[in-house]
Amino acid sequence: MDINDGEEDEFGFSRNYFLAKDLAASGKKSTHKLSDIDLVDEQELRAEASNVEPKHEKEIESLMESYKSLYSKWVFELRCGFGLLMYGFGSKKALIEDFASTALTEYSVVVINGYLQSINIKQVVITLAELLWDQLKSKRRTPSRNLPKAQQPFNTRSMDDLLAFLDGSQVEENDCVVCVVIHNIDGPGLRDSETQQYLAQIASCSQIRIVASIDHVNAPLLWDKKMVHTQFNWCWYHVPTFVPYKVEGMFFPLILAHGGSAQSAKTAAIVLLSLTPNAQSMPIDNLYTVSRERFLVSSQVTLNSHLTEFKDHELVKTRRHSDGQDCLYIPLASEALEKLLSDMYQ
Amino acid sequence: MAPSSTPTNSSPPSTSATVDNNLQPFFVLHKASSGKSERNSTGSAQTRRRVDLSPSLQANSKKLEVQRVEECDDGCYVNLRVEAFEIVWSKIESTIKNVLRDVNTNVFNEIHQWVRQSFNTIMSFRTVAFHEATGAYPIITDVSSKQLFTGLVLTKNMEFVDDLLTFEELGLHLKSQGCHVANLSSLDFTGKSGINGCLRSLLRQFLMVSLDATDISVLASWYREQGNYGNPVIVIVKDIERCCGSVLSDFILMLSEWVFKVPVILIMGVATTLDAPRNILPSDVLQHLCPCKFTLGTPTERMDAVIEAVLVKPCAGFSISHNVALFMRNYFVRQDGTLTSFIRALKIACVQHFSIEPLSFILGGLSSEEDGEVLQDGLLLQMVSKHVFDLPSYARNKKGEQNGESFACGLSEMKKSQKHWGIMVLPIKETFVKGRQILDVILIANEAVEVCRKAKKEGIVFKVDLEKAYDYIDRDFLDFILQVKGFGQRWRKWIKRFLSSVKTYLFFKKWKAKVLGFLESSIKKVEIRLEGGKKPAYLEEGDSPSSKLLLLAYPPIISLFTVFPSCLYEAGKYGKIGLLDLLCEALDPELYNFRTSDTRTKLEGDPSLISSNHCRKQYPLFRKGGFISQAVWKVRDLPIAQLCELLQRWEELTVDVIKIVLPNIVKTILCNRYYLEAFVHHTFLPYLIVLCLYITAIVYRNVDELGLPFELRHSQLPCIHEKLKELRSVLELVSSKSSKEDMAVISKRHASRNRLYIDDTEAVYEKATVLMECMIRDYMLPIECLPLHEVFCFKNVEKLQLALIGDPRRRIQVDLLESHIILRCRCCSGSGNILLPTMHDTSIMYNLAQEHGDLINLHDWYQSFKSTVLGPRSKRKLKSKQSPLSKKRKNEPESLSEAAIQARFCRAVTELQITGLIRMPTKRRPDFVQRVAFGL
Repeated sequence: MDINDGEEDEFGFSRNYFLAKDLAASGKKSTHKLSDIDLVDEQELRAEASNVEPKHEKEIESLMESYKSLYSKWVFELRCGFGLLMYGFGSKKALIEDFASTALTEYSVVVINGYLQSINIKQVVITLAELLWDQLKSKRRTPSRNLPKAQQPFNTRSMDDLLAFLDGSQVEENDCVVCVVIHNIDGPGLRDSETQQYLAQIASCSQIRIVASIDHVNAPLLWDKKMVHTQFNWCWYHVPTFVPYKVEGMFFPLILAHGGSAQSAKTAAIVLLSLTPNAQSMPIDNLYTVSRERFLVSSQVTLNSHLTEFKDHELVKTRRHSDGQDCLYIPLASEALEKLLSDMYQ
Repeated sequence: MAPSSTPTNSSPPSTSATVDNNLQPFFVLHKASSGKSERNSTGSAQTRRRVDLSPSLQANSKKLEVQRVEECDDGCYVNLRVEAFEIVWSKIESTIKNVLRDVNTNVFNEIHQWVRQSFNTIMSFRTVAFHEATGAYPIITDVSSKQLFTGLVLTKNMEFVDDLLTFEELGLHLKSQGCHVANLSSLDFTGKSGINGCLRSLLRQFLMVSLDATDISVLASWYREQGNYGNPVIVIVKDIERCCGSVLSDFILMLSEWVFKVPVILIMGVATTLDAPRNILPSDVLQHLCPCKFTLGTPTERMDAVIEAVLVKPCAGFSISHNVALFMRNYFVRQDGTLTSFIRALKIACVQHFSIEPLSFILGGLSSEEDGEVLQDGLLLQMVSKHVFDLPSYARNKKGEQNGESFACGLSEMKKSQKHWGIMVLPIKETFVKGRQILDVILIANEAVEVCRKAKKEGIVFKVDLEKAYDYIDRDFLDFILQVKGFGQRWRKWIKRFLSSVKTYLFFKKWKAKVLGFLESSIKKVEIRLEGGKKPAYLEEGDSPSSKLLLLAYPPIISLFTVFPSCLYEAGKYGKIGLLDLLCEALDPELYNFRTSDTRTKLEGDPSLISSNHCRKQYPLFRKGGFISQAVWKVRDLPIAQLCELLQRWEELTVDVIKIVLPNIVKTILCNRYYLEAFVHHTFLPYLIVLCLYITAIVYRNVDELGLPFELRHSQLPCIHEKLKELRSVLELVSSKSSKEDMAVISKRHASRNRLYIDDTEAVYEKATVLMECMIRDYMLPIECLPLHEVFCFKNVEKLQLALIGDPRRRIQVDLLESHIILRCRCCSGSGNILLPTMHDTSIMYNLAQEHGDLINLHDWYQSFKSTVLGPRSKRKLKSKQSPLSKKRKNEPESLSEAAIQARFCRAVTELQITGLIRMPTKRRPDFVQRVAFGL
């Protein structure tokens, strides 16, 4: 491997960036709209998306099989105190869980699904502490003389105490270890720096080993040098699997299902159609007076109740005008509105 | 205990459970199985100690044993290696710790002294009676007495990681001296938790409890307790630059309020400059601080110390190959620059070695016990013999005799030669001495002359006898002369600067052309010899004033005049050679082979080829500009005092191996004044080198009886010895001659240098150089040239690089761009750059994205994706795959698959989003996604 290519890489990178910028600036920007595509119905799209036919199943399988030969090496490195960090394209969830359930049977394994939106890290630590406690108890058949008595239950202890317990110098035997598998340590639920600090502290505990995966290309930016070199102590492994990100992608919006103006018009139409006829035909301006003239509402109160309805469905939003008056507006593009109206009065 | 009922290694949990688990933030996959102890009792594979294993073994039949060996490959064998790794690494780690502690000892002691002093100062201020101090309020005094003694420890290192350990050690050091110490870091000073955060951490460390309600009065009452009272309280803040300024200043104000009750002394780590506190803290806080400055060692110093202890001296037996050393050096210099990362790289190298190399478990035994003892065990012996013959270096060196005996013997030899190697590398490092300037110039001149000669350029050679020119000319007089001769103020200032330092050459470069023209016109093709003793009188002779002046303005002019800036640059760099660089070169097997072959032919060749004037040519074995050759050169230029030091170090180093009393000859010669003076003239230096080598040779001859590495045993040691003898006789002759003249006048001494004498010198000189080559060749054997080195030496750079530096940014893109190569799929490969519909969807998408600028129009992207997926009309591959119907009707499947294509498009975009390669459309640009990564 060429050791000297570091600087050229840097150079190539910046050059590529400016080339791309140039390309975007010089070539005339494509004016095609997303709405030009004949988009299918969202429900249909979702149904299709959930059973897209997989490609290359055989090859992927043999790829996964080839990683099995590395299991022993991974265990070796875990035992030596390193953390494993898996990266490469494709969901590594199945791979890591398979590794954990075949090669790490000697240790308790906790799995954290980092791709979820919110994760309570303290709960995780409590679970870890309980597992370790169980393990210690079972190890020492003899009445526990070394273990501190009068255990305060773990879930009332502070984070620092829990971490201190996991870092336990009270354990002489080094192989009393709990493994933590973290899918997507760069995921939305774990991405903030505070959580990463906690994870790093967990990783540096002597009774904890971490196996984690990342998918984002910039994931290493989450960690500073202290975390990388002294706490996580990663051994990197490049294990592309090409397995579809089924679970990981569950919470991402489908790009062709949202966002387009046609789509908003459609949802707006649905909401409008389900309203009472009075509310449906209400114009936007001049509000109360116009409404009253047309006998749509009889008082301010009824108007407000209608408006609340609209606000809830985000058909109408309020904005405070400079003179302090509340102004109402519809957050739809004008062409969308036109389209909507033409659809409605067809 | 009750292990969980979850199946541990059988079928995966049922699907419904999996779905549940997928949506859980976290879950327990399984609990630790108790299988381990059971397996142990059956004795199959989990044996952890050799001792346990051996008795049961004897009883077993041989057949079983063989079977066991196979099993052991995965079982106990791995355990042995893990154990060996633990032994070796803990050894290396503790060595590193000790080395770093030693580096810092002086500063630590200084700090401790200061702590004691400031504590006494605080206590002397304390006029408050004890009962008064018990109240839960601070004592109000005037501002001047609220001083908080603060030690600013300048780490000289922006990389804060390297100093984590330092501050920990500092804490321990102070603790061992009876102080109360708390270590705080920037994490305790965040704006979020405010002053409570640091106070809580403080109380936690002093009182060993964690309280929700924090109050400094708790600390005060703790300090009043028996046993705590009367000792200074130290608070170490490791990295003030990263702390939240307002919290830190609140903290300092609070401490200074309470300083009478709790005599806190603050120690703060400063990475940038001593101004840092001024930048962070407001002035009203600063006036409470009473700072004192300390400075830690530089990162390079620490680095050198660590490398010496771990890699050069035999530490735990583990070593690295040339390539790995090279990689690690580059990693240190270019990528990270922290010692911590270097140590981590070493650790990864170590762990990789132990996990790859089956025989590496021997290392664990070797470093802790006597050689060979590891091999007592029958089972292990079998394993060893099974693997050892696969080692390429073993096969190369020992054909025929294949038994454990020779292996054990080889091992011990290996171990010894490793020791010798370290001994040779260190002296070379020792020759680099800081702070010399004048003598560098000689080197420059030599190089310049040589280049001139090679290029057949005409030039002017000044031979300036430095000692005389430098010592005998009164600078003021020179200045005076210049003034008298009508030189301007500026010119005189230049000359003065030259006189004071060599480093002015840079300044002069600007004027190069001008000055050169001036010089050339006045002194063309004049060869002037300046011999000593003629001193100022010389000024009155000569032709033009400028030539005289130049002769006196010496070295810088020479360097300028010969105009080889590159040489200057090289010379300027000399002082900064790191041990790591040397190590890299010493480890290079190719270079070594080159050296060996080269010198062998040279030894047999015609000695007259080597001209004594061409000193440079006498070192063919060293790569041009190589660090070792530079080092050898350095030896020649060493001033006396440093040379003495160097020799002493050599002595110490060689004595380390075998306790032999060195011949007194070194000392007598060193005490001989004549020789010391002579070295300045660079004439007798080679003798000294030879002497060192001679001493080394004596040491090694004795080693010979104990068993030298076999390469050495059959080498030219006797021949070296003979030559050394010969040289020594000449040396003694000269020495006896010189001792008579020793007390003579200086000028007389020079007169005594007759022609014959010089011839003698040259002959000896030449031989000495050849000898030195031999020595370096024989004792600085790179580890990769030794038999059995595979057991000790980690060579696989690629593995190290992959494990150490993950490169997700590049590699994930490569995965996508070249998916068919990684998948090894038959249908997609061989297409060249054409995208085939069978390829992975996301891969197609990313390939298509490459054609866009930084913004990708979703519509266009979708259309090109669609056309790729549908493929050329002639091919039906895709359609046949998608649905059987499509074969018959053309239009319908397209409209049918529209939804499918859109779904696939959506999913590919989502996957790219997960990898972070694109960013979703914004409100401003709803029809575009943004590319994030450009190029690999």
